[in-house]
Amino acid sequence: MAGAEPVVIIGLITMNQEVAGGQFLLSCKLPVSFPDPEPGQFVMVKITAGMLPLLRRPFSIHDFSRGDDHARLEILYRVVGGGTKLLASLPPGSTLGVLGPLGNGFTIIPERKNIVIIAGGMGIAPLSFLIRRYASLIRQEEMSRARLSRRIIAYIGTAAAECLVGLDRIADCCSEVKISTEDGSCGFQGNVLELFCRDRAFYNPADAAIYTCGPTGMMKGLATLINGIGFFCQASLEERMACGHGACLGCAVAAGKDGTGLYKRVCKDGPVFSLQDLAWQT
Amino acid sequence: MKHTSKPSLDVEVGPLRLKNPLLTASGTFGYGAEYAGFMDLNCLGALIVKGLSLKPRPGNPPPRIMETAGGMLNAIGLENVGVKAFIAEKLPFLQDFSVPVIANIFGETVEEYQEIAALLERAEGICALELNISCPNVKKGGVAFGADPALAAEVTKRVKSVTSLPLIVKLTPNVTDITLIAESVAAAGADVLSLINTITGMSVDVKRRIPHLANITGGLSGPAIKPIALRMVWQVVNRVEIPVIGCGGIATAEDALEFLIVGARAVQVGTANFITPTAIPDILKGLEAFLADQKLAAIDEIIGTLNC
Repeated sequence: MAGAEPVVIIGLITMNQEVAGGQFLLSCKLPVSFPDPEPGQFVMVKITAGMLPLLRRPFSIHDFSRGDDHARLEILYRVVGGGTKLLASLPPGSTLGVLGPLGNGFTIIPERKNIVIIAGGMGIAPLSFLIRRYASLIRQEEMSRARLSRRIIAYIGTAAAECLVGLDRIADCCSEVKISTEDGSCGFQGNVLELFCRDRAFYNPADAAIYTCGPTGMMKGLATLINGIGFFCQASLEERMACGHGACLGCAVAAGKDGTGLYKRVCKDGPVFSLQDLAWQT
Repeated sequence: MKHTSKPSLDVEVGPLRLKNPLLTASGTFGYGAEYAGFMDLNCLGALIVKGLSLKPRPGNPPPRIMETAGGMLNAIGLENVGVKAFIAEKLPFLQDFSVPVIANIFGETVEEYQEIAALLERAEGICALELNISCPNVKKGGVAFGADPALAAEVTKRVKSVTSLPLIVKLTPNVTDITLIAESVAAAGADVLSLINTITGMSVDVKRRIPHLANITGGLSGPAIKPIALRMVWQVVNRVEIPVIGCGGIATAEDALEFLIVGARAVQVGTANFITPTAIPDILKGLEAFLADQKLAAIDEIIGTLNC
């Protein structure tokens, strides 16, 4: 689902803090004209006023709120290259070019009892916004005494305990938060897919909706795991982008069954896709 | 005499009369609708759409792009909906606007170029054709035509024979002497030349020891190529009689002015649109401000005024 047209505006960084090794939480004040984003949408950020780096960088929207005369946008990012390294060095008070909100968000499903979230590594960034949106919806349903009592179960996987980020935002929203670490320093030892696999049989397509974001290998593994069962499952992808708004065709991802050779744009046709719609075998 | 009226940005580019010298570079503006939410398409001098082939093309496997210092590499693979789908599905949207639409076309054989041109001849709403003989990313067709003066002349002549539309031929810089191709294509009947297309480049991931692009090489665009583009435009302007449209790394009004001063009658803006969707309206304002500041009545007055 996409809402209003994206805007090109300047934001003011109010916070830019390292929250775990190499992972940063940035909060940015925007003009009120910035449209309400949907969980799953992203922004293209111009890190400097000049030509270095040349291109904007895509970041999923981690959180969004409104004040009386401004909007507040948060992104959770990892330093992976020159652009993000520069971003991490910007102090509060710096300006940031923001283009967005962009892309299609996650689909909110009514009437599904179990909202299953599977986050690998930085995948928690867009999923946190989704969890908080669902939690707000569920609270409204409970207040109106809806027939169905819904729950959010989050499976969070990282390399080690010190890499875990964003848990404080979602702890109150989830019925359960299950953690896996590769090195066993917290929770289940192994990857998040193995953790989910142990519970897989508790869920069925009629009562569950699955949302995922994380390393390609993880999402590919999930696609194999749930293949043919009929779950509603959406994945948020990322890919190198130049324009971020559908013009350059740079962010192609293979779609279509059995390698029919078709591509979709992660920025415009995504970043949220039905897991089964992607050609994972390529 | 005091100039009290607004400076004129009108330009004549051979048979084309444009309200300003700013065109979109093919491949950077989709089919126009992609930018309609950011800007008024009617402010463009002309809209050159994504290159069209006879059949739809899916494009190259990812990764298709990679940023470089002051630029980017692309190996999109000429993904496009095909000329028939363009006419049926993309052109109607553009017909609600007054902006002149130019169809960029390419083929793997001369016959394909002719077939596409013939289909567009019957379509309403196209004011010119731009022949892509220069794309560096395609293994067949593109590179071969643009690198050989005789082949470039042949495709120009054969397309000219089947179209009544003004013919712009877009040249590749990936040649030893671009002026030879320019002369050959001009003699074969091209109405206008546009240059340059992207420059073939490469980038490597040192940790994984693989190219950053699935295609290995790609076309370099952006500010990094401007000096090369500008030099080539200057060389070609001084070699042919037909008008030249300059392209390559233009991001600001100053950049555009450099090309106009060396003799381009108009310019294309490409990569800059990715970073700033309103790049062209911004450059337009810059040109107006320049003319006012320099007390010039028309942009036409600076074209080809390089002192050297």
